[in-house]
Amino acid sequence: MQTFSFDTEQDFKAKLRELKAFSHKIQVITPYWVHDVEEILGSSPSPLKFFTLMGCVTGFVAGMGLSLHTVFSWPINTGGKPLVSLLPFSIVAYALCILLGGLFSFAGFLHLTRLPDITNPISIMPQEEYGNKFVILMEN
Amino acid sequence: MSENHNKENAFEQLDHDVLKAMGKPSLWYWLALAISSFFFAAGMAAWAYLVYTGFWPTGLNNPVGWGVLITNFVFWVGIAHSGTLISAVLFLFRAKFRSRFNRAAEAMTVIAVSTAGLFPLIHLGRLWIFYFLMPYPNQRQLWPNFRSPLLWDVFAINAYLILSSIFFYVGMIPDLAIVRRNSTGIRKWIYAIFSLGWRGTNEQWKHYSQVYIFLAALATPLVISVHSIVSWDFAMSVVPGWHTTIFAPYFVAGAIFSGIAMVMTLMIPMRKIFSLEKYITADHFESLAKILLFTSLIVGYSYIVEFMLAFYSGNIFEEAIFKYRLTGHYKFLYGMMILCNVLLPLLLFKKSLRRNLFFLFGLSIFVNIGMWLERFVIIVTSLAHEYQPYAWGTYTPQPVEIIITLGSFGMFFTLFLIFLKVLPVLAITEIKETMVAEH
Repeated sequence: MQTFSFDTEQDFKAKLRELKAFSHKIQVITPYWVHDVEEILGSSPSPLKFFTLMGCVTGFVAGMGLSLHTVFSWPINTGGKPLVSLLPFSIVAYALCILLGGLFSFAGFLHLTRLPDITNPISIMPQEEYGNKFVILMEN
Repeated sequence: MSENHNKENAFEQLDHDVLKAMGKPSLWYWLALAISSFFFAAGMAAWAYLVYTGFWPTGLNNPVGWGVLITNFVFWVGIAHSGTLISAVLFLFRAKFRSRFNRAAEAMTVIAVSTAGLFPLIHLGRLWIFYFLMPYPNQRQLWPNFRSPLLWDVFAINAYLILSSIFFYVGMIPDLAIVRRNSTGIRKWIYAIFSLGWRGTNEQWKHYSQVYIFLAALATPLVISVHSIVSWDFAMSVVPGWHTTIFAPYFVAGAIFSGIAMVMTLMIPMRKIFSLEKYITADHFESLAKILLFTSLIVGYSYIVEFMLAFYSGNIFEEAIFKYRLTGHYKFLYGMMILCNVLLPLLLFKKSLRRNLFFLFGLSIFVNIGMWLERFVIIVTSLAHEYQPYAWGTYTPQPVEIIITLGSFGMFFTLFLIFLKVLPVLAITEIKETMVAEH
């Protein structure tokens, strides 16, 4: 394993482009998200959007289903409004759509990044912390 | 080479400055914490007293069944809004100045929603049956009424609280890793656990950037919807002064207005106390001041439209309630509201005042007062002067309600002061990114 460390983003990206020609087993560690890294390394886009979509759809269906279930379960006329009032029910469905969309996104993020690694508690405190350096780790 | 060193030093300096703010508290900090905790404790004691005695010590009566407690609820939900505006909406619009305010604004959001959430519980009286609000399977197969805006509120506020908390936490994970790196002993372990083992690898950043965008995109409609739903608690009724279609946008603009003012109230002293002048400049505050002015104009316009709607409608009850607001028992409060929310913010048209932090701090206090009064005036005047003259009445907040109100401010400031010492007050990672972009 070879380690290359840089103080600036420009030097780091230049070296990354150079090293990419030699090896496919490259990992980088940066102090913030460097947009070009994915393009240089040619990594696939994050599948997180599917988690978000799944959460939103589940939330909307759950909200609408819950509202409909309750009025059929206890069919009482309130204020002369129709029993199945889709407009008010859609507000509940919307709130749950946003809520579950957020929760699924967060769960998806933890799943995809393998965080936290509960099988090995020590890993929550990585030994190698590069601080504000831009680091390239390359397997030979 | 020197440029590299400068950048490295700038990053290290930023880490150092933010971590220094989390260091040993000063005597002033302890004093501020003691005062706010005292009010918080007094508020809790007053709430316990209300639970014990029932609601007779309050000023609530027939016809004014909603008073200061519901005013506080609407006020604190409004305060929460600017956090989401700054963190989510301005993120999607790529407004760079947000990185200086977003951490504190997000913390403020979570704390303010938590504070707001207490008020429906306090107002319930019988706190121990609060779970009746939730839809849960029960023996009698009774369900809450999903056509009621009060139930929409339960869903909207809870969704807002949970999503804001997730957004706040996710945005902080890389910064918690920085704190972990620079801490020792038990603190290192605590921050290690909460930073989840973050290393900043390309895979982690790839998913992180996505989750942040999605959470921002999900939170953005909440900025509009949560306070719209709160406004429907009023607008869906047939009470004169409440039953109007303008309420949703009017409340949303008011919420952002009051929230931005609260961000200023918190950030101006924080910047000075923690010596963060290098990172939060007059330019950044000027950007906030422009949002404050813009939302003030919307709020002022809404006040005019509200009157126009009432008088153009030809409805005598609507006309009567607006005449009452202007000339009735609460005319002084209405005048104060106009002064604080419409007239004083007009001074922000002057550039030098937009950049004068002393002025902005003072103005933000007036706006906070004005927006609290706005909620009070809307709620109380409409109920006090409904349809039948023989059912008219007035409402005066009693000491127990005033103590609970002060207690909510105590809670808010206590939790915010704790935030200042346990979590990074600036979004370190984002500021580094903008520093490079600006360079």
